[in-house]
Amino acid sequence: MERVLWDIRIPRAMATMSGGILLGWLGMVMQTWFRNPLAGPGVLGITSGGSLGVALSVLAGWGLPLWMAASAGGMVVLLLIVVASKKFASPVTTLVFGLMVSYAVGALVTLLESTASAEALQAYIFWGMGTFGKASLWQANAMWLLTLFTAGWLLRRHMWLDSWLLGEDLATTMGVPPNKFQWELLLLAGLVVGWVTSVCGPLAFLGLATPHVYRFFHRSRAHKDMMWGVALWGGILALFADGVVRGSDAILMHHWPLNAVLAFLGAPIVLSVLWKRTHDWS
Amino acid sequence: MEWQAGGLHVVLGGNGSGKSTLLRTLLGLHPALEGEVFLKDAQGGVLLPSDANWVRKMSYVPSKPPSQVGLKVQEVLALSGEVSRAADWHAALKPWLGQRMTELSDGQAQQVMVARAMLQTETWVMMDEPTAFLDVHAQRQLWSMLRVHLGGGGGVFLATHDLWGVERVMARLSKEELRRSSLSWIDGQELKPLDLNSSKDVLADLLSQG
Repeated sequence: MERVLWDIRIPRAMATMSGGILLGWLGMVMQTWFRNPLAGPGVLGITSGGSLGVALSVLAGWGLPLWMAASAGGMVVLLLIVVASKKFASPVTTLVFGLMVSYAVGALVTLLESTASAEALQAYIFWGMGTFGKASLWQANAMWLLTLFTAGWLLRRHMWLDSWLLGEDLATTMGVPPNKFQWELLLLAGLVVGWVTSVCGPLAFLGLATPHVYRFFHRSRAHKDMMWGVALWGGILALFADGVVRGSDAILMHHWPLNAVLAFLGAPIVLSVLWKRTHDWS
Repeated sequence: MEWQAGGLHVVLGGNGSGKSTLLRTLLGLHPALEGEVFLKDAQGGVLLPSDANWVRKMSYVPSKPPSQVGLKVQEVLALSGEVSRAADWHAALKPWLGQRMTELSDGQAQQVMVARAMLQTETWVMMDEPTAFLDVHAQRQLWSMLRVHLGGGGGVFLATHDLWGVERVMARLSKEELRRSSLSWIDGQELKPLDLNSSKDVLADLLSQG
């Protein structure tokens, strides 16, 4: 009994909550960074970048630790998007660019899949469905450590994030060093995507949808308030989604993959954002 | 070129004349194409755009207030200083403090942006066509706030193409304020200072030339 608790239940609950919090925060800072309510690690192709890193490691046998491969993949895509977004006048173009990068990265993964061994392919496909259930205790602990680290960063930089909402030029003249700020964001996003993706799979929608759930229920848009609310909702959404997954196992005797549950939950949330006026999203 | 804080300094120029580039260069957003930008204080100390303290001396009001900002007015002001000080300068801000920026009109939002810039520094408020999107009432409100800044010894730098607007504003400045102010005009690659003592005539001249 005790073994089950410490080997399975507790790591799973810890990974679920910290995964929800981390992805919620990631969505929040990316929406602020790109000043775009539809920005998120999935939409901008960063999660697929992480997937490519994992695919190179698992399918092509590069042998890098998964989290490093996922971090590196995510950061490469993010860097590409940051550079490209400076050229685009419209935030929509940035989103479309992110989707195109996703497709291109997905094509590379497909190529890798077509040459992979059956076992590696199966492992990769199951990983791609996403789960909080495979986290070991030390992985879950590491996710909480990253959560604490990110919380510290947010507490330190909430004024920069607020200023950034006013525009890059104005923020710069208000004392936000744009390069330093964006490098920090890049590294943070890379770490978060790398860790969460390598442990739990390329999770859909949590990053994009969580800040909008917060915005629906709460009024403040200042990051020092928002970070707590987003953390709360990220944790709740992740626990709920994992509850559905476990419920499907226990009651239906049929496993619903986490990513399917997240998409069922997240897609209507994002659509409702589009449906409503989005002009005061930030 | 040299401008002294403590007055209104206007650079006039048409669209595409480079006045925005000049303003961005002075703000340190843009490396100088030629020459050097620095601030000199009364004791002869020199400050460069790369210095961390630059933002304590220079603040920026873009021509259009930022859109889609869900922050409350008081949260925007608090990014640059004490909210109550701004409300003291400009009583019109008080009823808006708890509102989101998105709930304000362009004219109201621009007044918030000017107040924020004044909280950031007592030295230079740099403005790029700040009244381009404002009606006459909002323009008047904005200038009444900026006169508080001028009164405190601060400088206002204004890049604009709006000759008539400049004439209206200059006409309302006191003799003392006018003495410390300047007007220049971007003509091709050159920045030509205009003599403010005969500014009425100069403006009339420019106006008649269209």
